[in-house]
Amino acid sequence: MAIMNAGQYEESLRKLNLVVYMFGKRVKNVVDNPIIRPSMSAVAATYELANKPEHEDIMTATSHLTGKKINRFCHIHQSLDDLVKKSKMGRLLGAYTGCCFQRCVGMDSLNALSIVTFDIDAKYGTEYNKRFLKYLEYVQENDLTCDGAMTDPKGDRGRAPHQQSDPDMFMHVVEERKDGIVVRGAKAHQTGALNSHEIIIMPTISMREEDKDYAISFALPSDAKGIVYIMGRQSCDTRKLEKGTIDRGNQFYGGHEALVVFDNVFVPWERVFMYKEYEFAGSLVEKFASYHRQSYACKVGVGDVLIGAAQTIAEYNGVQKASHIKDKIIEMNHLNETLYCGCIACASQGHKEPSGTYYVNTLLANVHKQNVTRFPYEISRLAQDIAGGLMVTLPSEEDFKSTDVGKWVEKYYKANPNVPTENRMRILRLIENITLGTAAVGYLTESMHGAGSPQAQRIMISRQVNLKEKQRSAKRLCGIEEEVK
Amino acid sequence: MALKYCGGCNPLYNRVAVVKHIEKACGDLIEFVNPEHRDVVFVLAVQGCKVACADLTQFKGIPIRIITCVEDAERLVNEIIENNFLYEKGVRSQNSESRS
Repeated sequence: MAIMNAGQYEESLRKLNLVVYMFGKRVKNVVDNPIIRPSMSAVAATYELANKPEHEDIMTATSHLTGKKINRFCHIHQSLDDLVKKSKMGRLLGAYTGCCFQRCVGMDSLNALSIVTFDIDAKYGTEYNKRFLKYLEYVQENDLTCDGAMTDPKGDRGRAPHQQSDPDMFMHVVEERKDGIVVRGAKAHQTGALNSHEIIIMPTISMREEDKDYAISFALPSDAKGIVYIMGRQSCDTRKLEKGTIDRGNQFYGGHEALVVFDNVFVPWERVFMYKEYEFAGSLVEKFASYHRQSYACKVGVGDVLIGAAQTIAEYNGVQKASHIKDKIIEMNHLNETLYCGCIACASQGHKEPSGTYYVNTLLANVHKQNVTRFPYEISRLAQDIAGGLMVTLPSEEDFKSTDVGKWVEKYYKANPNVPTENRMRILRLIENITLGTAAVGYLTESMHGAGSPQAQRIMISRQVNLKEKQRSAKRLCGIEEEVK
Repeated sequence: MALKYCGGCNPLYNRVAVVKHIEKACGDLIEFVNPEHRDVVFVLAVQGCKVACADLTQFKGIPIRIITCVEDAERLVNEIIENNFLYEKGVRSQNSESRS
């Protein structure tokens, strides 16, 4: 089974025995929980579209290991075209789900590890890449969703891992056995963790020799003994428990994050991909982060939805012909397509690593992600401007359907006589969902901090640009002779 | 006729609706099959924009018609209905010969 469909994916999740807590209670049925289920449906869309003729050209690829057709989320990039199609896939799925579909993080982990395990082996003669490729084949053959887990809680940000008063602030080895290792720690902000078959652990920062117990990478089944998931809250999350669907905004899809605790978890050696090679921790972080910054192509797709919603509410309100409204829609499109430029550019300007994996242009990937920390906020501001204040003062669906006051909601919230009040409510709730409801977690704050906060990209940009060459160009044009030092 | 879509990341028209329109307008004159079908004699590549990025390498040696907009589809429909297109490509005569 190299490619699963959405139904098979859902059934495969039911076989997992995840230890999940939400609102202080154990969640026994994760798949059908009304707060979690929309996020499962968003991941399921990555399986659904891979089986559709009109999307398979982007959603599938050919495995370089087996030659079989696989879901692109399990693929190791073999060309620049693969990298470009990854960006396009992000936009496609963002527009299809209107939220974070969670599966990119596993793809980015796999690609980063395909490079770094090869590089470690080249230096030390180890067999990490062989182990990794065996694992990769397992992932591809079973079309698994992997959670790529990088971010440790980090404790005191001013201290290195070995200097923390609580050593568990960074994932670390607590015991070495003949058959494997025992690890302890946690990973925070884990997008899609509850919808994943596997969890792939990577270190969160560059490390020195003193931190070598923290320089570890491995993969485990998501329901391995000792792993506990604590679900994160989202703005407006309990609307999913209410009667009706209008107030949810997005009827079908959503995202989620969780704190994942590793309470003395055993990892067999065949699942360990880095073990105390501390000088490669930074390289793994950089490779994963650059791939993942490219992955923010998804926000272009969500932007497509928000722009469509803004144009729709303008028409429903009867203001679509006003010049300032038209101009705001143009500005939203300009910003959104500028984001698209970045994720396409970093892909098309990528290169082949010694492992054979194609890697994005890191400067352009960081520039793209830096734009993502800003533009969705401005696109959201413009959407709210066009939508009007009703987006946040609208009564509930239950009021709309009330036999007592429903008639008043219907009467006073009608605008365009040809548009039912309910449709106006629905599009306003979608804009609310994306700009300040559950989906804003993905479209805004995740855009800010996911794949590294803005300052992380600025540091990478300063490292990657060739300032001296720019100075040389400037000096030549104005007649300054190069200073001899 | 094999039907091959691009991935549809940001199409400038509704590709699936256009294909349904072609099917409806042409009726029995054409039959779409899966790209992997062994008897493919002609390929319709439905590209969402002029980038036309669908991977067509599997169809080496087979005639391919690319459409990138609604107007392209209309032209194709007219050619099929007027019988020019398929005869020009030898598709219908090929089929007739194989049946006989």
